[in-house]
Amino acid sequence: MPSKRSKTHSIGGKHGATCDEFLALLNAYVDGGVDPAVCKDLEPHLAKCNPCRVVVDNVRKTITLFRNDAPCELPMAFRDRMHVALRKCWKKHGPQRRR
Amino acid sequence: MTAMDLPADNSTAEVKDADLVRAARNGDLDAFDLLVKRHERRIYGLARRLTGSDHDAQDVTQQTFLSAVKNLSGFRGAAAFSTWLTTIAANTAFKLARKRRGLPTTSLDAATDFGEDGRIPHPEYIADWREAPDRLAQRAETHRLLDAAIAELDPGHRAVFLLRDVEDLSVRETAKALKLSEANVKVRLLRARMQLRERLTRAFGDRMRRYKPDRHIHVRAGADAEEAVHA
Repeated sequence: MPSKRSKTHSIGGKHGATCDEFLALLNAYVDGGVDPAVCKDLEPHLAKCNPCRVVVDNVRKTITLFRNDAPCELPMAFRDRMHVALRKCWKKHGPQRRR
Repeated sequence: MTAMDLPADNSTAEVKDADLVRAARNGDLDAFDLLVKRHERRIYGLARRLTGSDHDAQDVTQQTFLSAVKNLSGFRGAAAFSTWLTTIAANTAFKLARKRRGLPTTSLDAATDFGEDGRIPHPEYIADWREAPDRLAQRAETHRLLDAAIAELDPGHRAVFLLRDVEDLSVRETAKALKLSEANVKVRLLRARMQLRERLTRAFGDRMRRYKPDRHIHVRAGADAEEAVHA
C-alpha cells in the first residue's frame, strides 16, 4: 500500500495534476497559498486544461465583482436615528475624555 | 490626538483609522463620529447580505456601532478597527438569525453542512465571461444578480465568503469571527466560491464557447487531492 505523501511531494504522478486534484487545491491556488513544489505540478495542468484555467478565471472574476460592488447607501431616516442613538450611548457608556 | 488635530482643509481621508480610534478612546466623540461615517455603508452592506433583510440590516448596523461605543475602551488594536467592526457585525447578524429561528446562539460549527456525502460540487457550466468585471459592475442588473446569488448560499457559506473574500479578513480572522475551525472555513469558502462561480457564469458566460465538464469527479470536503473520489 503506498504511504501517505507529504504536502511537499508532487501530486498526480508522472503525468502531472488531474482536474480533481486541481479542484481540491483551487482555494489555495486562487489565494496564492499553494506550496511552490505543488504549484509546479499544477501549472502544467492549467497550461493544457482549458476548463480548469477558465474555472480559476471565473472564480477570480466572481470575487472581484463582489468586492467592487457599489457600496450600500443607508436610508437617510435610519442613518439620522442611528447617529442620535450613538450620541446618547456615548454620553452614558463612551470612553471618558482624559485630561 | 483629537479630531481638532485633523488637517486644516478638512481632508479627513488621510487620517488613519488608528489615529481616529486613539482620539475616540480618549473621549473624542467627533473622532468616533468620523469612524462611523467612514464605515457605516460598508457595515450596512455586509449586514444586508448577511441577513437578507433591510430591516434586520438596520438593526445589525446600529447594534454594531453601539457595541463599538461600549467596548471601545477595551479595543487594543491587535486587529484593524475595520476587522473588529466586521467581526461584531457578523456575530450580531448571526445571533439575530438564530434568535429568529428560536435556536441557541452558539457557533456555526455544529451545522457543518458539507452536503450528504461531503463532496465539493464539480463545476458544470464552464465558459469565459463575455465581459470584464469592471464593465459588468456598472450595471444595475449585475448588482441585483449578486444580491440574488449571495442570498442563495447556505448562511454559513455566505458568512465565510463575505468575511473572507469581500471584507478581506484572513482565514484565521474569519475563523475567529465566526467561531469556526480554519479547516471548516476553507471548505465552506470553496463551496461558496464554486456555487457563486456557477451562478454568475451561467449569467455572464459566453454560451457559444462553453466547455463541457470533462467527467464528474467529486472531491470530498477536507480531503487531500489523493483522496479524490471518482464517480
